[in-house]
Order: sequence, then structure tokens, then C-alpha cells
Amino acid sequence: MNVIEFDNVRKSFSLRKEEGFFRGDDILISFFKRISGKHNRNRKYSIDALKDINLKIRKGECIGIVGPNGAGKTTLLKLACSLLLPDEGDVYVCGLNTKEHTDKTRSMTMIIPGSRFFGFNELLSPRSNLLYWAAVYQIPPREAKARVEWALELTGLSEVGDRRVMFLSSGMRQKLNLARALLADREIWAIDEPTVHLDPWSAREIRSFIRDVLIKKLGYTVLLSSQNLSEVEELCDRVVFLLEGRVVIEGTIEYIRSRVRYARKKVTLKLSSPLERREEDLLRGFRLSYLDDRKTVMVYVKDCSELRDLLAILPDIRHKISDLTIQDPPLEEVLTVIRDEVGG
Amino acid sequence: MAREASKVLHLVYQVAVYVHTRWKIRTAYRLSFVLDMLDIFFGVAAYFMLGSWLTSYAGQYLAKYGENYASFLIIGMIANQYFRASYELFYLMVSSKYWTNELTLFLMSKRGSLAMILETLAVVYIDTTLYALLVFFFGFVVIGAPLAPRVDYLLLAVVMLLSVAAILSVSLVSASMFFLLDAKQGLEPVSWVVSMLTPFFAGVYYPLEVLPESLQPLAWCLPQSHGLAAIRKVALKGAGLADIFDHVVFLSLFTLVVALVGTALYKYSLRRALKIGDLPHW
Repeated sequence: MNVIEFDNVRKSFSLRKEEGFFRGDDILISFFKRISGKHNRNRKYSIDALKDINLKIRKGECIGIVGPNGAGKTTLLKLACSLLLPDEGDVYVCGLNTKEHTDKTRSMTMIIPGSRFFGFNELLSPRSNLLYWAAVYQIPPREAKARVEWALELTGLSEVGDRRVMFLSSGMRQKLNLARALLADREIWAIDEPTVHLDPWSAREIRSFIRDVLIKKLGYTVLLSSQNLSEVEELCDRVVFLLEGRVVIEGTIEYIRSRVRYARKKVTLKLSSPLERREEDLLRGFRLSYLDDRKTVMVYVKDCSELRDLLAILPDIRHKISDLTIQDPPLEEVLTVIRDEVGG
Repeated sequence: MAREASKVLHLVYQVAVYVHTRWKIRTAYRLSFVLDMLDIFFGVAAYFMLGSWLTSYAGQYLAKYGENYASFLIIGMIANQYFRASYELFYLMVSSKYWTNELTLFLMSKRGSLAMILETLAVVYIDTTLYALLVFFFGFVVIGAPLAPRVDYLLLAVVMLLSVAAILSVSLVSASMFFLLDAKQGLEPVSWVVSMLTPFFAGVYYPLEVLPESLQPLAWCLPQSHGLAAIRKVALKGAGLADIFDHVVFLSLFTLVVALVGTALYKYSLRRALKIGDLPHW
């Protein structure tokens, strides 16, 4: 069952002048433009954020939205949560058109604005803040306290529930964002860049919350926009790659890998001692990278013939090899090849 | 019926939570709470001294309002506090929620717009009423400025509510300009014009009879002028409903018309913002 459907969606934004003649001139200009209805029709002053988007998102699926900055990832999330309406085409949430049932479709979804932390009073504790949001999200008074405790527990914030928000770390604040979203009891979540600016350990906790709690335990549908492609690879069933507002490729990670002939496999060689000059020369034809101690060498091979060439060389340095692994190309590599192919 | 009742109860509960949250924030720094009280006391005392000093001169213009300039000023101070809180109330609500990104979070809730308005009203008017009660207490009980011998406090509260409602309806028009005219930087034409005209035309510090005769009709077009006149007549002269009927009619009609226009404009502005992609700030 599809919970979200994008049908030929196009969304554009008007561009504004950066500087004006005098304070308030933008008010007069936009007044005449808006009154005359020319605000968004003038292509010269607008930019297409999304073009011809056709997507179907199934219930319980975790779908990754990836692409360079400005590709339209956040716009796509906002459209899914009815915080924007499409200029052309339609977005459906559980079969309802967002243009006609805006309030209803919006109340079926929840957007988590990534690293942006707002709507919490720094002087109050997470518990008090969440009680406040429980009232906003229409949680009946009798259930509010229990629900807040449940959200704190699922996000691992129970212990700091009474500490002032101003003393919480970035990782805890991001968890508090997620706890607030849990209160609203929505089954479709759009999460924008959840781990940006977080240390690796906090990021790992956020990822395990999304995987273990949201996807596995609660069975929610998750749209995850991220620049961290290994995160997308770890969490998502399917990936949508956006470039300049268009979907370039969409499907499971295996499918996307299979569509790219030249994405390189990574061969990692762990060595007992660094390679000598003569041994390095043997590998000259390959794309290489070293770790700091030069005892770990990554060799990237684009196809079977290159892999065979590499394997033919290895006996010459086999006395130094303590471990060897061959990995599929990482998503980053695959998407880079795709981006280069379409000329992005 | 039971469902409607539970919705109303929930709204009451919501307001209680906002007020409780606000109270916790307000009392997070207790010293500033005490300093606020002292600030109010000395403000009232200064107005009282000014009023007492000028009463012999100003009294001739104050026949309709009890003839004591200190009382005239203190009542004006209370009413003006409500008016000042109301001019830009909805504009500031939309503006602050927009720039802090909370607007998105409120709109994600089913009755988010209503919740946001209730919260703002509760927070602003509880603060203002506390201030008004303190000014009233310091001015008329502690310092001893005279009131009318018999004051109809219910009528006083109704007139105050009606005046605030009239100004709030202007505030709705003002809030819709945030998106309609893209007036996001604090320069909003409707409330700007109203707040600019008020000190001169509304009679906060002097009775409107002092103004040149040619300007007086203009002054009586403002709801604040009618509100202030009615409030003063009830509190300082002991007027009844019949004595202030013309002011009540003006305020009621003004509220009805402007609130209808304001509500329609506000809803249209949000819908338009949603369409052109202006609603979420991030």
C-alpha cells in the first residue's frame, strides 16, 4: 500500500532581489506583484526546485532522499508533509490530495527539521517542554504524562528529563526533537539531515533509534534526507537520487549498483610493513589511497578485468599482506559515477 | 455534544498548560520578578505626582472624566497597556513563530493555529492583567488617587474587553500582512499607522477635547479613543451603560466588521504562503 504518492510534481520558488533601494521597497514591489498575480508565473524570477517528480512510497518503508546541496531534498520532504503545495501535479498522502485536504494530510505526517533545534524553552526541562508540546498535539491530559515518559524512554532521555534544556548536548537536543515528534503519534516521518553536526557516537545513537525504534518496533514509514550516504546505505530500503530537482535514479541500493558498470569495487590490503618504491610501482596503474600509517592500502577496481590485473600483481607482495577484503562500491562512489554520467 | 464538550475542555487544559509553562519561565529568575514590581510602583507614583501637580490646570477639561488628572492618567496607563499589547499581537505572534520556526511545528498539529492564538492570548493578557491589577492597586489603593464613588466593575470589564477585541481585529489584519506584503522585518504598515496615530489621537495623556476642533472627528474614528473615553467615564465618573452607549455601539460594529475582514485575510495569507512556499522558514 502506497502511503505517499508524487504524481508529476513540479515546484518552483520565486527569487528575490538581494538588496533594495530603501527599507521596505520589497513590500511595495511584492505587493504589486502579488496583487497582480504575477508573483510565481514570471519564470525569469523563479527557480524550479523540483521537476516531474513521480514517486510512490510504501507503508513501513524507509526511503533515502539523497543529492547535492540545492537538489530539492528538503522541498520534497515539505511537500510530503503538506508544508508546501505543488505548483503542478499532485501529492497524495494515504490517498488524499494535499491540495484539497491540506490540514488532514498534514496531521498524518511529521517533519523533523534535522539539526535545527527550535520550539524548546531553554530554561525548562525536557519533561516540561514535552508536556507543553503534548498539549499542542492534542494529547488528552490523562495520557500526556505517560506519553511524555514513553517518548523520553524511547529516545534515552529519561535520566536527563529534569535537566534544563540549556545544559543538553547537541546529540541530546536532537533526541529531544525526535521525542517531540514521537508525542504526535504520526506514522509517516520526514527526517531532514538527522545527524549533521553530531559526533560519530551521537550520530550512531540517532541512527539506531531510527532503525530499531521507528522502523522495526513502531513500523513507521520514514523519508530520510541525508548527505551522509553511508547512513542512507545503513538505514534505507530504497534510495532516490535527486539532481537539480529531478529524480536521476531510484530503487534499492543493489539495483542502483547494478545500473552502474563502472563503479569501483574497493580492495583493502592490510600490510605488515609499508610498500617499497618498487612495489608501489607495480600498483601504479590503479586508483589507490593509503591510510596514515601506509600499512593499509585501498585499491579501487572498476571491473573484472582490472580485478584480474590486480590479482596477478599481488603474488609479488603477498609476503606483506596480512588481510585482504573486497567490498562492493560504496553508495557514494556509485552516485558519483551516476552524477558524472548525467553531467551534474 | 459530548465530543464538543471534550474539545472545549481540552482547549481549557491547553491554556492551563501554556499558563503553567509561562509561569515557570517567568519565575525562573525570581529577582527580575521583584524588580518588575518595583518598576511598576515607581511608574505609577511618577504619574500620580505629575497628575496631582497639573490637576488644578487640567481639571477644567476633565468634567466628563471625574476632574482629577492623576486618576485620568492612571486609568489611561492601564487601558493603554492593554492596547499596546493588542496592536501588533497577532503580527508579532506570526513573526516570532515564523523566525523561530515554531510556526511549522504548530501547523503540524490539527488545531495548531487555534493553539497558537490561544497560547499568545493567554500569555500576553495574563501578563497585562497582572500589570493592570498592580497599577490599579498601587494607584487607587496604596497612593490613593480617587475613583468614582460607585463603579460598575462588570461594565468596566465589558468595555475593556470590547476595546481590546476591536484592536485585536486590527491586529488580525496586521498579521496577514506578514505574508501578503512580505512584511517580515518588523515594518508592517497597518499596525505602524495605528501605533503612530494613537499617542496623538487616542487621548491617552489628555482628553480629546484638547485637540484642535478640526482634528477631533478623525480622533473619534479610532477604537482606542472610544475605548479610553468609555473606560474613564465608567471608572472615574460612575457612568452606566446608557451614558456610554454610543461608544459601545461604535466598538461593537468596528469589531464585527474588522474581525471578519481580518479573519478572511489571515486565512488567505496562510494559504497563499503555503502555495508559494513561504510558510516554513528553513
